[in-house]
Amino acid sequence: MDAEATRLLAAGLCMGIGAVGPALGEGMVAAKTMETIGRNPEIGDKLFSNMIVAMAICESTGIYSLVIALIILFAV
Amino acid sequence: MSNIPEVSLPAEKIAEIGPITLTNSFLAALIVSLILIVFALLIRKKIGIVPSRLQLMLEFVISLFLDNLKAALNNNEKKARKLLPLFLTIFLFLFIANNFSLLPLFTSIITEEKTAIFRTPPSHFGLTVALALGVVVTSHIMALIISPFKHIGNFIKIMPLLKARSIKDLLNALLEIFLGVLDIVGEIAKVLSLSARLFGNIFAGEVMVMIITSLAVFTHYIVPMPFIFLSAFSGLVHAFVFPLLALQFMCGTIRSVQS
Repeated sequence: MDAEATRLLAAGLCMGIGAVGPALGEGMVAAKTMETIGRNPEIGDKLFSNMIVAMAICESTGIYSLVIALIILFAV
Repeated sequence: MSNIPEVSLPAEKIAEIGPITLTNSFLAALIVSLILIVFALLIRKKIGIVPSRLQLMLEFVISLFLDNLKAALNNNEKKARKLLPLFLTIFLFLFIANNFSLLPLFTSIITEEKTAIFRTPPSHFGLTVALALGVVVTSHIMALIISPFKHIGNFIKIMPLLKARSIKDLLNALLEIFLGVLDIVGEIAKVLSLSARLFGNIFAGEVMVMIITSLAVFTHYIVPMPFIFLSAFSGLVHAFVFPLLALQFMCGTIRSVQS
């Protein structure tokens, strides 16, 4: 395998494996929020903004792998 | 695959004025600032007790950030109002800057070397690092002003070592010092995570739309629309998330000194 092929493979694996964790995490956040809103619909508005912030934090590991994949692809 | 345009991670150079290099994301940031100034002057004229639609929207945003600040600062209204302009400015700037590519015509202007003159500002890592570094450094300066020794003591935990009387105390004190070093690493990680989150989302949105658009001839028109919507939505969400997280970090640092 030459360097170019290794680079492309590394970027693909980095993004693919890195996307699994955040996806599960965000799914859990959304599921729990939906459950809570189902039980207590009045606090839905308040929960929604908190949910978005929590999701953004869950997402950060995925974004790290995205940044590393971009660096592998375009900067190295 | 040859018709997909070149994706560049650093911002492209447009011109050089003496030692300063003008890049396309810098020019776009200037345009965003100009839009904000014009917007502020326009809304100042029409401000009143009976609010217009625009005024209502802005009041909603202001009260959202004020409520968050008050909750994070133990209901200290005076201090919350003092800190409000910083986060509101970051929000308003990002609100327009994240969706810069939705402004008509701007992104189509190119130079003779085929580089775009304007580029979505947060898709350049320098801008997001500057914003995150600004917030974190400001929070440390404020904590140092409130109580310098306590703030330094939070990171360099020498006090337990001086009070140690037995071997067990000594081990605990060494552990405390190690945790202090970890806190210093955590402060650097704050800058990294804040800036990488914003940059990653905006840049990924841009690249996604660009690649979908240039896949084939028939994907130029209607096909990219859901992707443009997705990237605009994530830009909007991250315009809220960045200042809210920065607010939590800053208030956490201030609380650790006050208690």
